[in-house]
Amino acid sequence: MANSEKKIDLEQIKHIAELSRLAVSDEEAKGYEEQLNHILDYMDILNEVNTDNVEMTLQVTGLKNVMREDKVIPIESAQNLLEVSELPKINNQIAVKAVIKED
Amino acid sequence: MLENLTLKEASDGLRAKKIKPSELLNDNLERLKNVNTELNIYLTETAEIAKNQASEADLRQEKGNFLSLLDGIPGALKDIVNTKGIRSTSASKILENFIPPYNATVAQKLFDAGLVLTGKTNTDEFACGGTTEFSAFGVTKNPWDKERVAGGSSGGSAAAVASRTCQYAIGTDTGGSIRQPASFCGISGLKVTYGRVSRSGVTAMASSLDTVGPMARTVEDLAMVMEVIAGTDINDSTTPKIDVPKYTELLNQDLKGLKIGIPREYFTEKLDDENRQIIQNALKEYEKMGAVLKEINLPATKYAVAIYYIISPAELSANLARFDGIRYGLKPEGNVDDIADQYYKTRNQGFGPEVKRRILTGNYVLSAGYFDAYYKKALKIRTLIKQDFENAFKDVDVIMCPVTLSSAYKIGAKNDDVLSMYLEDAFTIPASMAGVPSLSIPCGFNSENLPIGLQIIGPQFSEDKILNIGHQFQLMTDWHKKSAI
Repeated sequence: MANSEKKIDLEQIKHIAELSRLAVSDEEAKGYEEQLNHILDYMDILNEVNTDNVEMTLQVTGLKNVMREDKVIPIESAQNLLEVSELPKINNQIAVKAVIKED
Repeated sequence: MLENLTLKEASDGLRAKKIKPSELLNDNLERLKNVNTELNIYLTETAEIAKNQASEADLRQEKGNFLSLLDGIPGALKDIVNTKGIRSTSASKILENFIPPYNATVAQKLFDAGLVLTGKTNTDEFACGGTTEFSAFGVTKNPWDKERVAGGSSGGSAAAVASRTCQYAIGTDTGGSIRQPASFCGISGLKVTYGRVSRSGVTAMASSLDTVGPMARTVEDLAMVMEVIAGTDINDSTTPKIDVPKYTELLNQDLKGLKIGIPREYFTEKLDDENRQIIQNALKEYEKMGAVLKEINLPATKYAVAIYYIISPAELSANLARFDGIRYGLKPEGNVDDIADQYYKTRNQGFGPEVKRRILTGNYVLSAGYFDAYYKKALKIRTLIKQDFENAFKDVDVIMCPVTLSSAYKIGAKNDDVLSMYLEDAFTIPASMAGVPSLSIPCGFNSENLPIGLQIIGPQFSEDKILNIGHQFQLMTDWHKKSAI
């Protein structure tokens, strides 16, 4: 049974997109609104299941607190790692645009 | 003609000095050249690197100093496996020019074992999809029928093996991405137990589900690759310190008295009739070998797709948050005002529609007010699916079922309806949720001459057992020997 009420509206799509650092156009947002509602309506199937006394499964290995020796090991040189970035470098640092603007 | 050798045959031939690594590579590259333009299998071909690797293997062969059973044999890597100095795109615009400064553990292990790398194979962008239609670089076509998809997300790796451009390939499987393309392309593929093979250096999709595994023409070949790639890794804390069996030496156990569970939930009316018949014939083959079939129930199966499309987008949205275009990745076109504008432009120009859809879904189900209703609920139902398998394995040794609802479909057939596309994964997702290993082997062809796969699921860390069970089938049948080209 699909719920006739929308689970997520255009405003929410745009809000989530902003939080996700995705600038979606109005047209894209409309498409996502329809698709996400369709998908979320399908999720209603989960309401059939009583999970009151069920634990969550976050991982399946059963491993806990995996430790390693606290030891310095050589890694790639800073230069190799810097070269991967397409942005300009100044004094072995990646130059990014302003984080805080002047008013 | 050497491209037609299986991994095992090639390995034996190299050891007996009947063939040389460079000769084997030549024939594989010849095939690759003939098929790749049309099928779009490889995003990056590495013929020059391969030639150097093969020459080095030639020298080792002369001296009899083989590095491993795989030494000197051509293989391919899915392009989400990062390779030092070799472009690794994850089939995304955001990584179109990314050249990693290090090797993924699986790549390093294979290079150390003498891999001759033919190239990096196509996938859906960040492994999100089941057809490679969501690759930023075009769809991979099915070697059996060029109008159809090769499957996905490891569709490039499956097609690379099926079209015989290499003897084996590495894929990844989060919700079916090795098993389904293996089935669609008529090859063998193994989704390992979660944690059996290191994920370090493999671009993360859904971290609690992602697995790395082998794809090849035969199960015996899969066992050979597994001996090299399995095991604990200091760089992946989800790899338990459990001994790696000598898989290749455990392939000759007879199946008398083997108890095979047949889950009713996988034989619903949604399953294609021809597919059903072919699976049933395969099960009869196992009965002939002395196995006993037993109907079982896995009641939480029907919820698997719904929880997958909550849990995996949630984990994906967190993993892809690191793609900010600063330390690596796309530099956006046009003027950028400030750092936030840079993030928006990088991600908007870099990510494709399915990835964006999953990021939005993921951040929605993780957001305040919806976290309990979707995410926590899904994690609880994941427990029920896991318990289904645990209960089943008290009664039976393995579970057999179809891999997919149908054979490979036409390119574009599922593009209009996202949900129906998601529902195609109904038979592969449950084993992923439980973290158990699962093998896909070809078990017949339908009336359109398209391959159909059989799925063999075992308890955690029972790869040795399910590989043996798959190998026994291939000793009795010839489906895995049919050639697409």
